[in-house]
Amino acid sequence: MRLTSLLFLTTSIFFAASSRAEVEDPAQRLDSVHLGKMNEILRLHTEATQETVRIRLQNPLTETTRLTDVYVEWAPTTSKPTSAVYVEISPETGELQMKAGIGVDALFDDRFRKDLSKTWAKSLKHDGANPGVERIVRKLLDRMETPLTLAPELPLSLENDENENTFTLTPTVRLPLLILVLFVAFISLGVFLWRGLFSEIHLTSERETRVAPWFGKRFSRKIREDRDLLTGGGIAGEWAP
Amino acid sequence: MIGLTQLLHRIHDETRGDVRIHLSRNLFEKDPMKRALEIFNGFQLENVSTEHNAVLVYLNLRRRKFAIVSGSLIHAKLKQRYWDILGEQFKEDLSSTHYENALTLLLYTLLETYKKHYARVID
Repeated sequence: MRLTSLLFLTTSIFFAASSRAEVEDPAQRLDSVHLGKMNEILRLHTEATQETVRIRLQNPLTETTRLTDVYVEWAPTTSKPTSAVYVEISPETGELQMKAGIGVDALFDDRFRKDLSKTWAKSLKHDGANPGVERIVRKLLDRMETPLTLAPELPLSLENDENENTFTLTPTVRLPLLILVLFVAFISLGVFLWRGLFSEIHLTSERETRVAPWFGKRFSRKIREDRDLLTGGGIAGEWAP
Repeated sequence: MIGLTQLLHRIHDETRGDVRIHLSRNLFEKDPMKRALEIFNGFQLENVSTEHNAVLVYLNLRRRKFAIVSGSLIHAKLKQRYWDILGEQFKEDLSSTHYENALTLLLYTLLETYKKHYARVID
């Protein structure tokens, strides 16, 4: 019994440690289920790409001059510090600021940052914090080209979803891989059709060769005019099954 | 198919003849003789040996049609009747057994014919 308890405790500690929150909400303004979903999406993204995204809700925001310090303190703890993204959002004022590592910084130009700020402020004003965070996550991951398929619309209303715990996202393959698979499938189909349906087999004493169905067609006209012209002769027929 | 290749090889080694087998699965083919002649001339089998004795056996497995085309000199030597009988026998074999077995029987017949008329002279 004690051994079982010990195992349970160890497992719980392990899972608690491994499921570190990517969306931090110290003031608990977000719905807990929604928060769990966002964390799960970001965790899956991190697993797939090693790019960690951390979104922190706090009021007031860290001073702009200190934001780099906060980032520098946090980024080395991630799996790929140069690709870590830190976003701070204020649920009171609707402000947003972010800092990204050198590996992904080029993705977030001024225009994108302004757009993200605007999205957060607008969502907070009209829909509340939960959809706002969700939209930020979606925009960030879209920009970072996540290998996860995010559903076109994540459920904004979460009342019915609490028990089912569905995440409306599924791992998917990257586009180049998909193109490669489709290309291989196309070639395989072509080879299958060619070998199975169209090509003809020519057997000689030395080898077996595949011959195109149009092989020898240039003699068609000559053969039509005079069959005996090009050969000695022969016999043709058909057999019953 | 390996057995057929071996038999073709044997004909090539033991006689001065040359037999080719051509298998097609063309669903829309109407005249097997026409296609066989195209193949025969496409591979220039008439001139493959100076004795003009090559034979092409053409089979359309999907339409269940066949044709046997021979070079000019072997045809002149054996006459049309020989090919008619060979064709009849081949037709019967194709109807009663798998096409590879029928081809094997045909090749044995051709081997014997070649041995009789075009045996390779051993030094």
